[in-house]
Amino acid sequence: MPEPKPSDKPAKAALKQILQDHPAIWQGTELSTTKHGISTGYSELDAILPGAGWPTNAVLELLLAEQGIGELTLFLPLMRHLTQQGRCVVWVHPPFIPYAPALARAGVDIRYNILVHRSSSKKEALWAMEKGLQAQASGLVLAWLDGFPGNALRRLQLAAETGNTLGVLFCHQAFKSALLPFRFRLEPRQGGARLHAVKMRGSFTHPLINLDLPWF
Amino acid sequence: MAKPRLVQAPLPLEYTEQTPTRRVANHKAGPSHLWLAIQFPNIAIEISHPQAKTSASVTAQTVKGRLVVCSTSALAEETGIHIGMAVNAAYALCPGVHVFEHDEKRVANTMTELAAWAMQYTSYVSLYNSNTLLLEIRGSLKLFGQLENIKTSIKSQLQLQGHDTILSCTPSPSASYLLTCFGAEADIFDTDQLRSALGDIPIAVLDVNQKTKKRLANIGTQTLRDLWRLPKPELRKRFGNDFVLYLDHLTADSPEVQKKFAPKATFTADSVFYWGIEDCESLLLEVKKLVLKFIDYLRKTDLCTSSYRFNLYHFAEKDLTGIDINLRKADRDVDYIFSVLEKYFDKLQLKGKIYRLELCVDKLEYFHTKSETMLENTFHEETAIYSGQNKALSELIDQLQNRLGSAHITGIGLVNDYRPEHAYQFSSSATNELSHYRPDRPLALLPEASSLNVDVSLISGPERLQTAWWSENKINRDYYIAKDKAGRRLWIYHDLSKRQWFIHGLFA
Repeated sequence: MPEPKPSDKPAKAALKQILQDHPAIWQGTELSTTKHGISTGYSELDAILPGAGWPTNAVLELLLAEQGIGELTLFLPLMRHLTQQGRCVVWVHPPFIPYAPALARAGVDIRYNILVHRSSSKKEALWAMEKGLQAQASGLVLAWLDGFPGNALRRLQLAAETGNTLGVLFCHQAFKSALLPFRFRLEPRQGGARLHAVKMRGSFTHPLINLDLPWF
Repeated sequence: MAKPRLVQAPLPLEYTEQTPTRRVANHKAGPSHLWLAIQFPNIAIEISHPQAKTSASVTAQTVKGRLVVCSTSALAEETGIHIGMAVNAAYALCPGVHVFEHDEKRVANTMTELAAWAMQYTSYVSLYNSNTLLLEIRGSLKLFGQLENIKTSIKSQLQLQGHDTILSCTPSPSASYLLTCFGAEADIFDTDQLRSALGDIPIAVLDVNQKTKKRLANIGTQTLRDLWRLPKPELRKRFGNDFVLYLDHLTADSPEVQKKFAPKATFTADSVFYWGIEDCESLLLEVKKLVLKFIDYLRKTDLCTSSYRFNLYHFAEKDLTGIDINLRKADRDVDYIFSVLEKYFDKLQLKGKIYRLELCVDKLEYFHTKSETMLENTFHEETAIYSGQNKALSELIDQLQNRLGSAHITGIGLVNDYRPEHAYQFSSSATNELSHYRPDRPLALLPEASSLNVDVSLISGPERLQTAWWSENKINRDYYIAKDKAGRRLWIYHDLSKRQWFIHGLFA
């Protein structure tokens, strides 16, 4: 009796699955459908991001015209989610005091916050940021640093990949770099903010969305 | 009428009056202690060099700019060298004499080690002075059978360690010591025998100052027996209370308190490199070897520690480099400690070749396999970012703090204060709960309020904060949320006493 030919159907299905699910494989303008990101807390933002949320292993740039236009509020749901899971948020050289009463009121567990003060040198801050990105214990590294050597950004990106951590660089609008896989621009808008995705790994589109930020 | 009398009787006074009399009575009832004095007459020579004892050697230290002999070996003494002599004079008497530095600290360390060693005979060991130990052994007599057993055991074991000893045993600590100074090895169990046993000891050996000795010689007393014959009140009049008290101590007529030696929980180990080490990598390797040894010790003793001290001794420079490494949590996990050490020694810049590496740990704690509570008190309260139940996070904070310094890495916390600029702190707070309701606060607070010099439109407010009027930092403000043309949401206030507007925060 001849053996039945193994059907190539399961193999095809498996291949299709891989092509669809793997975050590093793009299919034209389509996004991969898996949710490998962490929800941003804003449904309209989740809809445009590849992975349906903030990437968990990348450093992104957030370009700002001014400070204080909702850039922290944008990450507040993520901070709340991470700290409640026991992962910490590292603040590198913030130009202000991360105000504990406001954070606590927004539901962030303030015990899981590490602050790298501006009194330390820039070199040390970069080192601390790299360590923060590499560590499994931290989930988010927020940094206010400007003027990088190019290889520093590359190192930060690699560190984020090892530690499965999201790094956010708050930069001035004029900051130019093409080295990081994600680049967003945040602008103020009546009742919220406008977020422009300049560059996203896993997507060719450059959507512009309006966000309604809850003001804490 | 009986009741009021009871009330009038001052109870505490009665109590204080009774206690000392009872104690003295107890003491007189019979000698409660038996003190074995172990004197190490040549300890300084013995520890200076292994061969020092069998050759003509002295130890010397600088006294008032002169190098003076502090202790001598038997061979050196035969040539006429004595303590207090200038080293040059010693060289003149015996040209081949070996001179070693008199290291008081090392002597003290050795004595501490010996005291810890002596704890095997009794739980009451006292460091009497720089070369004498006192052991209370009445309690141990039953265990060891008789005094002779204890003495032979001590003598033979110390002989093996290379120490000469003189042992004397009496009910009085001072008398035991005095007998060892005189070189007499006596066993006296009874207080009544003390006077006659001490009778032959010359006045010159007594543990009193030179002036008193001279005056005693002047009145014609040669030995203690002469002193026993003199009436005490007159002696007290001439030589003072302290001297008579000393005599009473000798005869065990008045009790003498000896400080109990408590073995210190410390660890010291070192390694010496005759070839010298100049690069961090080889140093780290040696550090790891030492730490492994230490962790082995910790495992055996079931201890752990959070603070390490490394001393690096340089060839060229006299001063040593001290490195303090503090972990956030006492631990003995090899990988964890190594990762912290690697981070530290990675950036270390050596001042020169190192010939000796020393590890000292003087804060040992009992090892707990689990941390007790979430809010466990960590070793540095002000830098404790949060209570360590998450090991990975502790490690991260350790790494950061050890490299950047704990001043640059902190946590954030709440303070229960209505004044906005005092409602936070740069260290962890015990709670994550807001103790009272606070309306909208900005996520970003400016380190200092800056005066408002842009056009803004008010969104909400005012919220009046008027508090701390009793202190210098009083505030009297109306807070508003406002928006400027650039689209920033600002937290501004109107200072009611200064009549000025300020920006205090950003709703970032």
